[in-house]
Amino acid sequence: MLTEQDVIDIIIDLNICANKDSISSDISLKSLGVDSLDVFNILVELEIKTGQKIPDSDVDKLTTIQEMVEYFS
Amino acid sequence: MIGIKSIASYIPDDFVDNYTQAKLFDETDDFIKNKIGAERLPRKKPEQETSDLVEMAVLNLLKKCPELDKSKIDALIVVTQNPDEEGLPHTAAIAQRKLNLPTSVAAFDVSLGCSGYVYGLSIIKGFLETSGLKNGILVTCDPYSKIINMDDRITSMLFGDAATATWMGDNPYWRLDSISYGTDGSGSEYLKLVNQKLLMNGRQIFNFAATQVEPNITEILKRAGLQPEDVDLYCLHQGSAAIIDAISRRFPSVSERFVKKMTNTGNTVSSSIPILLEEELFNKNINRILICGFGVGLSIATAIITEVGKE
Repeated sequence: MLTEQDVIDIIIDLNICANKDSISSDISLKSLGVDSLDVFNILVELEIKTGQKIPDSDVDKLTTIQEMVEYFS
Repeated sequence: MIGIKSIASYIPDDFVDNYTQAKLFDETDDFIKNKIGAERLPRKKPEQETSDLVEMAVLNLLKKCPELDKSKIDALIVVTQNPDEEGLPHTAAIAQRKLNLPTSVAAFDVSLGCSGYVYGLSIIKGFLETSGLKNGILVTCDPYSKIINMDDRITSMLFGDAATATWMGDNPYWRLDSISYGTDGSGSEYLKLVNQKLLMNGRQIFNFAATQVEPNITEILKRAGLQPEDVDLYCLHQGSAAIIDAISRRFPSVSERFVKKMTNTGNTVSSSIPILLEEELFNKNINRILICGFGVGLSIATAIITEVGKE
């Protein structure tokens, strides 16, 4: 099962958010300064961690950490 | 033994300023510099054909290597998926005429994208050795400006035009060691031409690079009996800065050895690896290089080249 902390760890490990204190589960990743290529990176790591493929059609649904956790729950 | 003797390139003077493009697509300068990795994208002139770029790269090679006389060239192989006009006749034959190479030359095209240089090295080596020939030129030239839709944010900020020419011959300075290939045609739709324009699923191409390159590199190192630290330089296809970062972070002990150099070229498809090698072939501190191309197909090819002697 994927937790909020798992996603936060991925974001921190990828070093893609300048202000780590601003990360919270319900804020849109875009507002944290996460760009389209950062999202690709996060999704790759989520797929590796969960062993599940994320179809392209679902990508637009994953805009916050919370949505990512719920997607894999 | 046939191997690499020298490499030259031709990069057009004209270019697109990527920071200007970024503003059109509401992207930041930081995105261009650190994620795309290309500040300018070279562009051929509209009247230049693919064979003209091929010609320029080969002429630059001949200028660099005066000992290579045109009369001694036995083979000319052009890696391209954007050939002259409509692809018939093959661009290598057109280039043979423009370069005034002997009519005894074997000339043909190879249809591959970003993995094409690594495949091409193996093809020309095998071809020359099997045929008992001494000197061949492997050219890469895939001017994507022919097929890019400049309104497409995904591809218009990535690709640059360029051509390279690699002299493969006897008594080389670098030999081709281990090599591996791979193809996953289930991803062929992710990078394709539709109505003569390039269509790319950026996420799926990124996924392919981020997940498939690492096992290929690990496998070839294992097969060669090498540790990651035994390789001096990792010259991967320069897909984008973000792709190189995504791959290199999977090799933390040597991540700084992964070359990321596309500021003035962008993604030049099959030319990106030889453009990097051109700078490093005669670097006295570099004796073993891993090269890996990946992209259209989806296709991947990885090889290790080793120095056998320098001037």
